[in-house]
Amino acid sequence: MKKYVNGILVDATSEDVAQFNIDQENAPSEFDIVMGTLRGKRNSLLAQTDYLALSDQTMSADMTTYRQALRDITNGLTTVADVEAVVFPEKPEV
Amino acid sequence: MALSKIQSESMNLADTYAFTGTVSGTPQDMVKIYSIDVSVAATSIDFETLPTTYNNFCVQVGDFEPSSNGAGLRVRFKTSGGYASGASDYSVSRQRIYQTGGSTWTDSANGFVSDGANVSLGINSSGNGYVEAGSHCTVWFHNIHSTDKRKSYNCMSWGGQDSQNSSAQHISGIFVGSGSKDAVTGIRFYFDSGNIAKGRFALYGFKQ
Repeated sequence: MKKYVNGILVDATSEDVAQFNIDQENAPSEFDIVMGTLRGKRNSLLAQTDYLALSDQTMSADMTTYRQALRDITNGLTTVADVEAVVFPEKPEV
Repeated sequence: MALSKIQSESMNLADTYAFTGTVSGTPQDMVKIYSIDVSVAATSIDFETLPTTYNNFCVQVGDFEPSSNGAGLRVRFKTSGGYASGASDYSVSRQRIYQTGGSTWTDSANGFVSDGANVSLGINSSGNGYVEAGSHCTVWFHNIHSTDKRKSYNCMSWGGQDSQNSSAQHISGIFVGSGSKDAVTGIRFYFDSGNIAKGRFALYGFKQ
């Protein structure tokens, strides 16, 4: 294994190789990455309608269904293809 | 003396002009210290001579690619005990704005998948994202030589992130964090999976 130190290509040390191997074991999978992105989008969409859950608001049945669908959107996803096929539910009129 | 001769042979003040004084000057406010164009796949890019003239540094990374897709660019600091890789050695706050499917999204932390033992620069790819995007980022490092201040770093990046649209994604992120107060003696760039296959890494020192 090689590394660049101050622009010079040199052999990696035994400590470098050991850390490299640890990092490989801990690297997130592609599934982890796309699921993280999906959760980020889902959380963003939930946040847009959070105000409707305040005590002085009345949430419609459609909105309740919409928000529950968002919460459940990661259920049953086991592959990258599953995540990529996800379609977000349409936000009902407020 | 002809300019071409100076360029080819340099100019020796002592021999040519019998100069016996001392040449001095004020270091520039910002200088390029190292520049690397990766030609051989490597486990990391390390900068381990950080001139004390500068307490703040900037690394410009251009067109970087991992050996295999799905890898994220990371940074570690070297202190007295080597490159820190403990779970509590770094603190990272992340925010990003990106676009997919005609919509603009913002989120913090989600999608970056950092295990805490490094600085995640928030760039991951799947599919052909890195190649299509021409990924690049600029990272600023502050208080590197200080022993009474925590280190801080921030980054702006552009790169392929996910494959939901099978295309490159635009990511802008700001990252603020702090590790220990120990002086930093090295800065390492690496991918969380596999080698660095390509990329240009340039280290600049600057004063404030």
